Amino acid sequence: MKRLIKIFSLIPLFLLTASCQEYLDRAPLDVPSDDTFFANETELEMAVTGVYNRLWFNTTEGMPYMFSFDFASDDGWDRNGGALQALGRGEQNSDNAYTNSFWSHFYRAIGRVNFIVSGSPHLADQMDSEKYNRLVGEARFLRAYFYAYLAELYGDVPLIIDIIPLSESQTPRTPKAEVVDFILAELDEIAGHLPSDVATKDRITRGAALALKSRVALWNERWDEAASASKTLMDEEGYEIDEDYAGLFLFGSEDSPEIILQVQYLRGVQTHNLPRNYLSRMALGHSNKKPPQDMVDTYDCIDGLPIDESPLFDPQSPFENRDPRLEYTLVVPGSRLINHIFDTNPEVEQVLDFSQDPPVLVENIEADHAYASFTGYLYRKHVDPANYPTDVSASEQNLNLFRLAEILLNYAEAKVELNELDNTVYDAINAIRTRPSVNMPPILPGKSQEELRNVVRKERRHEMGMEGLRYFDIRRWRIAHEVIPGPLRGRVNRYSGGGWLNEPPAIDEIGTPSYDNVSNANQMVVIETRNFDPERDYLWPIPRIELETNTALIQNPNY
Amino acid sequence: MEGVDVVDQLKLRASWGQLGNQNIGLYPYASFMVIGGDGQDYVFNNAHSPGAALNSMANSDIRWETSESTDVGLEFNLWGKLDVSFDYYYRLTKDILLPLNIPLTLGLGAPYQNAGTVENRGYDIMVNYRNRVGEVNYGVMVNFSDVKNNIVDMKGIENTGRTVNREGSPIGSFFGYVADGLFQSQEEVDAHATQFGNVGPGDIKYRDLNDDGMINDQDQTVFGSPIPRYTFGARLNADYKGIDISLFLQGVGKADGYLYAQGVMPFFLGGTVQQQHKDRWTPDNREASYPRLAWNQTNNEQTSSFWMKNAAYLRLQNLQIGYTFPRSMLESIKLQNLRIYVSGRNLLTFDNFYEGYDPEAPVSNGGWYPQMTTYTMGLNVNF
Repeated sequence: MKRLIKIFSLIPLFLLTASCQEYLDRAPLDVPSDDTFFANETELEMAVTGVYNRLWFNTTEGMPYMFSFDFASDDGWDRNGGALQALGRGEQNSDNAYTNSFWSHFYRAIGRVNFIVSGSPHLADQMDSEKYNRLVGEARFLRAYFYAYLAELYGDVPLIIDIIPLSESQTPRTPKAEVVDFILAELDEIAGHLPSDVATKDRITRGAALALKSRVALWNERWDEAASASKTLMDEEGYEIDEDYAGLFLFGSEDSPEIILQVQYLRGVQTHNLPRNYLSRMALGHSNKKPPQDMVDTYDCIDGLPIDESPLFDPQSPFENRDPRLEYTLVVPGSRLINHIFDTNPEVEQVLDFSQDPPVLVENIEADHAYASFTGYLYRKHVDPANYPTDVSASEQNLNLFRLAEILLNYAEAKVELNELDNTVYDAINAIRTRPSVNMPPILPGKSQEELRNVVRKERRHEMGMEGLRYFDIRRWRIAHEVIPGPLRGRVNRYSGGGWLNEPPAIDEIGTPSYDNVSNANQMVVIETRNFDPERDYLWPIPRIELETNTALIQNPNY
Repeated sequence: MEGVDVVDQLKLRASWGQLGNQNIGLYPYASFMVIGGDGQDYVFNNAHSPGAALNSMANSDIRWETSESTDVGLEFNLWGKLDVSFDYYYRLTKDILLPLNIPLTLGLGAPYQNAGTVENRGYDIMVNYRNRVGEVNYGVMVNFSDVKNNIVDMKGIENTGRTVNREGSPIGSFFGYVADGLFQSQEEVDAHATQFGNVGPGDIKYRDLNDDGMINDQDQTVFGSPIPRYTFGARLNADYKGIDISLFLQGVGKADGYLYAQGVMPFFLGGTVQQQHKDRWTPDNREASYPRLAWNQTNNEQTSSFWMKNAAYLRLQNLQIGYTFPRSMLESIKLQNLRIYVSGRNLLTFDNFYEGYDPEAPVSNGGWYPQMTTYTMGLNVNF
């Protein structure tokens, strides 16, 4: 009995040492808390995977983000009367759901990287340090990649590279140049920790780091760095221009020596809706995204001359003798898409169905479907016919983030701006143009800086069409306010009679058509009338909710 | 003691109470990792690879939310026929647990914070009268109530959207532009602040609240509240020699209704137009109920007071007329009871809301099935 009393008398002592408060505040036992995470290598790998996860970002109608920008450029239009369409028309504001989603999604991704960078350094000593540096390097690459978009779209943005508490969240905008300095320095630092491997497309390689550096430096007119990063990649990483252009955007592109980095999809885990957005009604698509007539007419003829100069251009057979990239990128009337000949002309009542052998004529659904392509054209690039019919809205086709052709064009452009017009510039451009499946005539030497600048700009539009770069190109070249405003047009008589333009439009040096001279231009269908205010629209509006919660931010001009 | 005959019953009530609410998940004070799932995983080497992420911020200072109510009530009965009850209440909810917006640059979901203070003050009146005059029995029951909701404190965070919670306004207030009718001429458009896209005569004109020559988010304000005020109901019934009649009326004295998107806007998302849009602005129809018809234009689709309408209504919810046959008549055919009746539900509505839309669903895109009017004829037979 005495002993028992002694034991009981000790209990208050325990209570004194561990305060009651702390005893009751228990962390959950079934999931790791942020304090105890990064206990081992596996947890680091999982956190890095969680950053890659942010590459699965769909904007409108399940459309992957990286190509979606171009629907607000002169190469595209989004039929959904929503936020992306409003952006294309120059009617975005601080409540625009499309632009706002990039701010929130990318900062969410950046937060995940900051968590790794701040929380995991102790692991460097507990695991293979090379592997540690590679994994953290991959995460830091992705942070740089997301910041590159943010800086390009919003200008100055808060540069947050650590975990910060709520009390320190009133962060002002960092000048864009400093954000770019940070991105380029990060890429230099991590490149050494990343492997060089042409066969790796799912993880960040040294090649990817150089490719991003090339892109960011070019976007920010840091020509020297753009040229040198491109050159290092071209010389040291072993990527090659693929002979087969079309194959770069199909299943199997994983094996192409031209592809540097792809977003990965897998049935049952994550898929995308790109085919549903692009395909014709007869191919089970929604024809939701549409190329304007502009994009069709920009492509040259096979003699390398624009359609208003080439003797090979016949206005009544406008798709013959054209740069093959026209039909690799777009679906034009009369061409085959999956099983059918595509044509929205209402007078084409029947079309061939190739799923039968021999092909038979079937009713042409596109002819009178209210939501068939409004412009009479569709996109072909990035849609492998194998998605039809079961995977049209659940495609597991991997999508490109970087490929060598962009780097060659970055190199050429940077060299032109540096006024170093040596053979390497022509070689870079011609490697793309003369690949066997494209086979366009080479650009001949002896061009002036201005001429060669125009050549590169035009080549970028034709080579990289619908790869999510055009939107950025027309902004950084400060030509968006020239090429965007006015009517966005589709083919002649989309809704009656069909037919073609009587004469080719006038094509300027960088491939932009103008229809002032075309006698039947008023028969082209007008989808919408767009505006672009150069005093405002070169930068996106900061989300309003962000201005409400972070009073240190100042909105971009004129929003 | 003459008064005793008049006042049958009299009761005065008063109460005060305090309640807590902690229904916000188990560990809001600790951040924890989310392991696996759509928002964390990725694919490497054509294989599913589970990921992990910290997705939400924790708040270690979290407390219960408390609500205090004070209620004063009066109940009495006069002459044994009239029941009246009256309640006045004041409810103050403090430390409301809300995931208040935090800067998105933090990269984490908002933690629950003890953020808001909201007050509700209101009253309920119920009157019930029953009487008999000759062979007529009749009864009237009326209830009437009102509540005023007000956000007292939101830690200064002002959320945005079509409906907002802002200090000094009711919960879920409408937020947007103040419309000043429709532009009548191009000169008027040119002279006014810049709006959205290609604006022309017949488009909605918005008030430039901060007078900076530009209509933008700084010109948005709270312009209405969907919380109904002065709600009432009345039930009347009477019977006379086997004939019985009962009707139920219901209504709201003051409410703002708001239709948007396909419900009211012509060509929304490239869609169609409705019969009502024929009354659109044209140079010959300047007093139109709808703006000019325009394709793919966002100016008229902004959230604004233009689309808000008075959603007050009075509705004849139910009417029933029946006849019970007298026993004497039934005995010969060996029946205990025989009653026939006709009744109707949702028979009449008086309102100034949009034609064809239900004022009982005053905030919507029209994408719901309206209440039906039902007529029933019935026969009750007991053997």
